[in-house]
Amino acid sequence: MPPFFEPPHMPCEECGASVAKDEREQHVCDQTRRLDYVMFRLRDEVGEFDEELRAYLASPHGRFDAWLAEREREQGR
Amino acid sequence: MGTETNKEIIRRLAEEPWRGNYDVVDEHVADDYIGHDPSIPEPTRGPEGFKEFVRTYQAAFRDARVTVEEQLAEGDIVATRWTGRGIHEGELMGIAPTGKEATVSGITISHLRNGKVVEEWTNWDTLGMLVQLGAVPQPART
Repeated sequence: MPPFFEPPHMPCEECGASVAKDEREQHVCDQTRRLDYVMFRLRDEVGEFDEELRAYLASPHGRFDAWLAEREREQGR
Repeated sequence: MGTETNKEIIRRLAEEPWRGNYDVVDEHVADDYIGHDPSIPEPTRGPEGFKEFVRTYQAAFRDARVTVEEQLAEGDIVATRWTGRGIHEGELMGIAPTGKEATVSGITISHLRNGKVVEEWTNWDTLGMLVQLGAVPQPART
């Protein structure tokens, strides 16, 4: 029995592109589109990471790690 | 106005505001315009209401586009079958952005008077959009 309702287009689960029902088998993800889609879906985590990194670098431990990394960079290690 | 001119007016009104040309709305939407659409609680009114409707969807869908697929005209009435497409990157009806691209179809019956559209009745695939965005589950196969 056919489904009660099935949109003629559905987004590709990998890249989010709208794909017609009769083109699903042939669909190949555009890699740029796929990357945009993945990054968009991770935007909250990326935003949180930036906040966490900023807070860490402002902490005593983070400031020390930054100082150490800079010293090692200058020493060419 | 002839039926071909009316079809062209409606085609421009359907497609061009989505490309940023709002002048066509001021040019061809009557001050007493009323737009009926079951997906919105109150009718759209006047050129500003028309623009506001477009802006709402432009804010929710990046690269939002409408393409006219087919038109029929009789006297001052034009029927238009169209397809809309866009990438959902802004909140819409409380639905958080998904990054998914959605494609919907719809039909609009437009009534014109002296080269301006005065009333429109639209039905479009709202359920299809909600399913594509994952806002409602796709009914299971039986």
